[in-house]
Amino acid sequence: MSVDSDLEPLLALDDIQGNILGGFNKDHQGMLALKMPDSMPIPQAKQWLSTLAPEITALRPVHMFRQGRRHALQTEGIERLDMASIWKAIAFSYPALTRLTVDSNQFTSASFRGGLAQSSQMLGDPVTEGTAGSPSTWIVGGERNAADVFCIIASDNPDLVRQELQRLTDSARTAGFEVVYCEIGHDLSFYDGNDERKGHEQFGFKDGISQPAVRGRVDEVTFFADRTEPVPDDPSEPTYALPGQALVAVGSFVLGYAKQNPSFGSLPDLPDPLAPAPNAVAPSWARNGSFLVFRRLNQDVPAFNRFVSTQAAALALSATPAERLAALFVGRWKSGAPLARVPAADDPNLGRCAPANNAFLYNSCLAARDGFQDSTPDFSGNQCPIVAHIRKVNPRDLPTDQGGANETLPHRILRRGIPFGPPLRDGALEDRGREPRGLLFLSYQRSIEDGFEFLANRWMNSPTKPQLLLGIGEGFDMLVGSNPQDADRQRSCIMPATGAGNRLPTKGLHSSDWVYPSGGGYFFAPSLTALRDVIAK
Amino acid sequence: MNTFLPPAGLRDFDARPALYQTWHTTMAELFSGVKFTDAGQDIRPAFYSPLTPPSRANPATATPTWNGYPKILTELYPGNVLTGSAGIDEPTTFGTRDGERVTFRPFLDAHGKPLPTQQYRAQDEYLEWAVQRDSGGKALEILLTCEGPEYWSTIASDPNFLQQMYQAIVGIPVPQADLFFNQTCTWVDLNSSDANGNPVNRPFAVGDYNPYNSWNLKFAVHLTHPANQLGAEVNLAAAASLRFTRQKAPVLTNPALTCCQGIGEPNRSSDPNIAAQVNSLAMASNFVTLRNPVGLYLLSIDGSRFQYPDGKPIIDITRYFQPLRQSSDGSMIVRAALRVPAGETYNGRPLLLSQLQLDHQPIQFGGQVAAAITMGLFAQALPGAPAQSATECALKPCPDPNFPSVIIPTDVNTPCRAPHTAALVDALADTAPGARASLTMKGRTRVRIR
Repeated sequence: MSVDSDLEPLLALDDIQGNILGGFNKDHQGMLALKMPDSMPIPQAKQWLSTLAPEITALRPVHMFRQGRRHALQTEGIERLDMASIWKAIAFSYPALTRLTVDSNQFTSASFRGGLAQSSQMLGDPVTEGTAGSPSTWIVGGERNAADVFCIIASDNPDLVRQELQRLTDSARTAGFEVVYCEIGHDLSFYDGNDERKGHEQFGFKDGISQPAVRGRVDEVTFFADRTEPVPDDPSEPTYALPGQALVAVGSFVLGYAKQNPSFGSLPDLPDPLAPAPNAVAPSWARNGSFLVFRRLNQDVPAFNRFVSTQAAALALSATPAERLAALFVGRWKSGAPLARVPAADDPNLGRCAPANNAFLYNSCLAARDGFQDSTPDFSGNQCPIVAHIRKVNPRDLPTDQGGANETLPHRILRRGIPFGPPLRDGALEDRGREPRGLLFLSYQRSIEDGFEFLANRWMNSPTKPQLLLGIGEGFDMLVGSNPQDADRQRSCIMPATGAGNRLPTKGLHSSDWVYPSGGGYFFAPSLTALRDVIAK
Repeated sequence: MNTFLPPAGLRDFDARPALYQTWHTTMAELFSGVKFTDAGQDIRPAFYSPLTPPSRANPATATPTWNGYPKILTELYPGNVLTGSAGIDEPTTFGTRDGERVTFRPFLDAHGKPLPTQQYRAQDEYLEWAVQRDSGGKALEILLTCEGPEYWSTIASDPNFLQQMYQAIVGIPVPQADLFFNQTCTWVDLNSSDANGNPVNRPFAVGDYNPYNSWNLKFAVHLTHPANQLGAEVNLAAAASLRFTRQKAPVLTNPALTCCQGIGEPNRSSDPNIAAQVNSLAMASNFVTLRNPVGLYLLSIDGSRFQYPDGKPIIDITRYFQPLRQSSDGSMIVRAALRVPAGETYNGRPLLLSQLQLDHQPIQFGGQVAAAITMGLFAQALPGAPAQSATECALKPCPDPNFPSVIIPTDVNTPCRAPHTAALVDALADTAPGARASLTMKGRTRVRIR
């Protein structure tokens, strides 16, 4: 096999953390946020970290586990769960790295250096102190409770996560860390044993379907990601791994590798330079590391359900109106079936079937040859609205304010989130329990500014981007976007599929956003080498 | 509406009504001058004049948008808006390399000597700016314009009116003579080509309007970059209405679309996006055009990216961002300023523009602000366009071997030279800081369909 080693590098399977490129994808994941008090002696912190370092999971076991599980599924027809395994990931804030290393000032990212709370306004969060969603109300990541060290503990066995989280919490406290936040996120099927909820988020939608396929090889002849699609003759065209799933350079997610080229879909771009190169964006030891964004997002499920049922009635949508309107907001039916393929009604079989549930484009035809109805060109958003969440954050082959489809690829991120809190019954309009619920959003990227912040600030929170069909704009991402420009934060959108010009204001129905942050942080997830030989040393 | 209106429907000509007709004629000629030939044969694009629509149906509107910060700088200075902005804030003399690593021909006097006073702004996304600074170099005000030079050439047909307009904009007396050439000169316009495909030689006589006059350069009265013209907008939209193919396969996406027949600059945000949106409409069997009034517009500024000196968010950016010339409904802005109102204080101390922050960096350069601005134009579509014959691509996008994300339109029969990323990184490691930007970007190729 002849491959471009810049474009398809051999991945450092034993150095890159497993959650970055592989994704733990476990049903139970504990989050632990620690603060290093000013008085804490650095050697003490390093001592604890050096003990933890060998426990951090590399990419190889995660990749091998996934291959093994799939093999078992194909050959034995069973989904084998490795109940005993515990996987761990770790990441550090900028202030922590400046205390633990001598050269972390070589990180140039203003957002990473400033932290999530500093970017909160730009991300569209409420800014008035005391208002839900503003950093002053966060349970982690605010001015007084920012995390320095962030750990993820994942397993298919919830008891193992609990035990391990307790052990780590105790040892961290003993070492002198302050525990600012500790929480376990569970797959929603955990709460009532309902497998229909598996992989779904709190509003009821199947989540995490569309992830970029990462370029690179695990050995001389084997690509990291599964590929079935042909490589186009023209290097300026995007390349797909599976139908609808674009390949993205590993350097878009991990430092030290060729980045995704914003002009040529299947050519490498220069990697971000690391020290001692001129214009370095990070110290040399940042190679094989990645920036981690954590956002604890509360979801007000009854408010969302009330809105869609009220508005759907007002719009006189046919057949299951609330369900349909909610699907228009998301771009998928709750099963995960994309509107681009089945605009009229949900098809749970399609929703369950990967990769068919991701095999669609918006601007051109895609013959998926998988037995389901193919997507057809939908530039004007008649099938999947222009404001639909999945179209806002990943406009696929559409031209955008950034340019062509290639320009979208450098902004892709690897999402690793998991829900928190017990779910309500489907369509619930009230919540008597008042127990918080939402999503522990996690994403890895090579640049916080070009990844997570770009998607939130430039696209989700913009009524006119990424695609402006009419001069006034089609509106906001009604699912998770926000409108910080207006004092009342009112969001609205146009739903062409419900009749031309139908605008859906949120005002009067719900005075605040139904998704709002309650914590988070910006971190850097180092390579295992850097963790052992630089940070913990 | 049977005449072309001034951009944004400006009412400047109410004082000189005859200029409305002059402007209409200028625009009508731009639209009627669009000719397309393939192998010597006229081909019919789906492009029409907004004054003569092919049907009475209500046209749909599409609005291509783009960022005001030159995209080429994001390739040359990735992740570093400050460095990119610093290189283009001040005007560049024609004939010298600009901040975007491009050289336009110099203006030549009657003896063939270059004229160093002829300058333009290397800001090529149809948005230009000029920064007013105090004696210490701190930014006091950023003036932004997207007014086409054609409009101001129309105004210049009445020298007294031109002088009045300049004075109204800059706020101080402007000697009329400063606005006109005081010697003959010539300039070869690489952005335009004659019937034979050669660059156009533009002669200027004593008394002709000088679009690059010092007042325009200092106060950003209208666009100066050679590619920032309304004519370019019309040409681009018209050319994008064609059906392009390569080896008979449709070419629908960028960068291949913009490169195909050199219908725009592929390394910009603006041209490829305009081309793609217009082409999408045309390929869906629509007739397409630009909405009257035809113009390039500043659509919005992202206020959520601005902060006070202590990093606290600026809730209402309209306190500092002021549209100065716009349509009556405010939807089409052609001139604006970012400034702090006189006498404003913050935490008890006088507040200066240079103390405000954008993305948590103090505002130093206009380019930072351009990065928070969304530009756009308005295209229209009417259904029912007949199928077009295909235009086969002459050019394809190739990467610059030194800058793998910079596009060089290349003859379709010439193989691209692949970038050698690893080797280049090694080479960069051995060079001085800023080396990436000092590497030469290959010349831009531009082919115009006539």
